Amino acid sequence: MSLGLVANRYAKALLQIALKEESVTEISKALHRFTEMKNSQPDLSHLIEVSIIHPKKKADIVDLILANSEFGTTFRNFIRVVTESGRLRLLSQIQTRFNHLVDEREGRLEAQVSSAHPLSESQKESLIVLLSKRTGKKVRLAWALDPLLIGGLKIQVNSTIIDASIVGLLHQMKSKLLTQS
Amino acid sequence: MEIRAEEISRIIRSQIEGFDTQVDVAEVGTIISVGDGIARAYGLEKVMAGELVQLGEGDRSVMGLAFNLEEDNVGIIILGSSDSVKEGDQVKRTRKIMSVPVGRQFIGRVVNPLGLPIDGKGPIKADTTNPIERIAPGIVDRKSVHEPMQTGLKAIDSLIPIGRGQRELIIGDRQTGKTAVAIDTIINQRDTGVICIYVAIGQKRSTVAQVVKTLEQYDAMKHTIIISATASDPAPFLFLAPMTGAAMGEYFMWHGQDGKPSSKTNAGGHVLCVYDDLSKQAAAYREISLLVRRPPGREAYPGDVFYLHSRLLERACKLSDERGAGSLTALPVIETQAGDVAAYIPTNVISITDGQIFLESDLFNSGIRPAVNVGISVSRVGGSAQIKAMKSVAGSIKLDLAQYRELAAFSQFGSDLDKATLAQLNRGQRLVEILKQGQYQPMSVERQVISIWMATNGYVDDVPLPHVRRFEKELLEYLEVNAPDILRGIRDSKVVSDEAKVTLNDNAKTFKEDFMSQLASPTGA
Repeated sequence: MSLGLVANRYAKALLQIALKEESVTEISKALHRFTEMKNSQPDLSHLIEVSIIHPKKKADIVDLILANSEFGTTFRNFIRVVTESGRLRLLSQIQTRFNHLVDEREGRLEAQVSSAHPLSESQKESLIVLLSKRTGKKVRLAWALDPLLIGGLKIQVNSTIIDASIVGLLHQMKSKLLTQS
Repeated sequence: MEIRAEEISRIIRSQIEGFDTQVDVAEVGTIISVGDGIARAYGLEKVMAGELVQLGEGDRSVMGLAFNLEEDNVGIIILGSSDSVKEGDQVKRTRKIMSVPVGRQFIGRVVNPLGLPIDGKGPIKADTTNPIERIAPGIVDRKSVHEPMQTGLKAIDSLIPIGRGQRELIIGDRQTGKTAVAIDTIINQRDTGVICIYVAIGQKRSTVAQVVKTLEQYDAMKHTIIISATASDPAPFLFLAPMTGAAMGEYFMWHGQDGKPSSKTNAGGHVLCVYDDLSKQAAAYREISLLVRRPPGREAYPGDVFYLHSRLLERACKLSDERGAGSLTALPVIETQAGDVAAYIPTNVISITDGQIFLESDLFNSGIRPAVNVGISVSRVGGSAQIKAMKSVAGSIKLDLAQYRELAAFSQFGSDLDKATLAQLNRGQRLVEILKQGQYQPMSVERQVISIWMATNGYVDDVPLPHVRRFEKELLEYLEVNAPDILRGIRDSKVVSDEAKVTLNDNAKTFKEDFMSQLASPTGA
C-alpha cells in the first residue's frame, strides 16, 4: 500500500477523535508545535527518522520526551500509536493530510498563488473574493515569489492550475505557432 | 523569386497579432515515480480512464495514457521516450480520449500506432481523428455477412470462405506461412476497391520492410496502410497498434468514397484489417498490466485479456444498408508454440472469431503450401458469402478430401486395395495437388472455379501427379485464349451455367488430348 494512503488513514482517525472531543484546533496546534519542535531539535528529528530503534523502544523514548510537556493526552496517545506501528516518519504527511481534511470539513481551500512580483493587499483581497466566487468555498492564499513567471499570476487550487503568467502565454504561443503551419 | 525580409516580419507579426491571449486553466498532477515506461502521478483528481495526458512541459513534454486510476495515484503509460520525464514533473490533463488521425491520406503509407508517418514520405495532413477505442456497432446497425472477401487462395476460398465483415483467425506455429496468407489476400484486393490495413505488431523492422517491398512490387501499396509497431518499440505501441488499425479502418467503413458519412445513398467502403499478430499484443498488454501491478491470471496475463481481444474483434462488422453497407473484415493472426492451440490466448481468440485457418508445419514441410489443414479449419459464416459458382463446385471437394484423409491413414498399413479405394486415393492426391498454390499468386475466383471443377470432375485423375499443377496452369491459359467467354461468364453471372459446362467439357477434353500426347512423346511436335 502506498504511504500516502497510510498517512490518510491516520489523519482520518485523528480527526474523528478530535471531532468527538471537540478539540480540532488544539490537535492541529499540537501537530504544528510538534513539527516545530522536531525541526529545531536535530536529535529528535534523527530519532524520528531512524529505523534501527525498535518501535516499542522508540515509543517509550518519545513518551518520555512528551511527558513533561503541555501536549494533551489524546495527542500523546496518538503519537504513541503512530510510533508503535513504526509510522512516525510519516508524521509530516499525516499533518498535511490532517490539515487538508480539516479544511475540507470547514469548507476552506488553500490557493497557492505565485507571481513574479509581490502582490499588494488589495490585490490579494480581490483575488480571494474572485476565487471564493469561483470555487464556492472560503479561500486562503499561500503566496510565493517566482521570478521565472516574468509577469502575471499562477494559481493552483487542489489539482487545478490557472495559468495567467507571461511564461504560460509564451508556451501557448509557441505551441500554437508550431502547429498552425 | 526573392523573399524580402520585410515580408517575413510582416507574416510573423500578423501571426502573433492573431494570437488571442487566453488564460490557461488546466488540471494537473505531480509525478511521483517513473520507470519501465510507466509513470505514477499524484493529483489529477478528475482524470478519465484512457485519457491522454501531457507529462512535463515545453519541448521535453511527452504524451501519456491514464491507464490505472487508483485511490491516491494514477498509473500512466508513457507513449514515447521516458528519458525526459522525471520525478516532480507536472502532468497535465488534455480532456481528450486518445485518438488517432484517419483518412484517405493514409493510404499507401507506413505509420506508427500514433498515426505518425515512418516511411520518410513527408507529413500526413489529416483533418479527421477517430478514438482508438470505440464501442462496436450495435445489432441494428449490422447485417449478416453475404459478400465474399476473396483471398485468392484456392484452399481458402473454396473450403474456408471468408465474407466481408467476418473475423477469421489465421493460426499456426512459426514459419508456417501465416503472414503469406495475409499478404496474398492483400495483393488479391488490388482491383476490388477494398482498403487493406496491415498491422505489424512486435515484428522485426526488416520483416516489415520486406512486406512493404513485396506489396510495392505487386502494386498493392496503393490500397494499403501499414501500421508498424516493431519489436524495439515500447510496449504501449504494440498494445495500441491493433486499435489504431481498427480506428483507421472504421473511418473507411463509415464514410463513402467522397469522404462524407455513409448512408443509404452513399455506400461505405470495405476494409480488410490484418492484425499480425495478436499474441504479441497480448504479451505487450501483459507487460504493461504487470508493471502497473494489476493482478496476473493464467499464464500471467491479466484477467481482461479476453475482453481486450473481443473488444477489438467485435469492431469488425458488416453494416446495414441504412448505414451504407460498409464492412470491416478482420484477419487476426496468432502464433502458437509447438502446435499448442490449447494455450490461453489461442483458445480465447478461437472462441471470439467466426472461424479459423489452421496452418501446420508438417504440411508446410511436406510441400503443401499454403499449409492449410482443411480438416480442422472452419469458417462459420463465410459459406453464405460464397458465389454460387464456387458453392456448386466446392461442395464435393470437402467430402472427397475428408474421405481421402481417412483412407490415406488406413492405406499405409496394407497394399491390397480394391479399385474403388484406389480411385478415391488417386482423386484425393490430385485434389491436394490442385489446392497447392505459389506465394504472391492469388487467383481470380473464376479461375479457381474452373480448377476445382476440373479436379472434382475427374479430368486430372489420369494425369501423373507431378504434372497436375502444370496441367492446371496450361488449361487455364488455353481457356483464356480459346474460350474467354466462359471465364467472363462466370465472373459476371457468378454461376456456371449448363452451356458453360458443355463448352468447358469440350475444351478441357481437347486440351487434355494434346497434353497427354505431349507427355507420351516429350520430344514431339
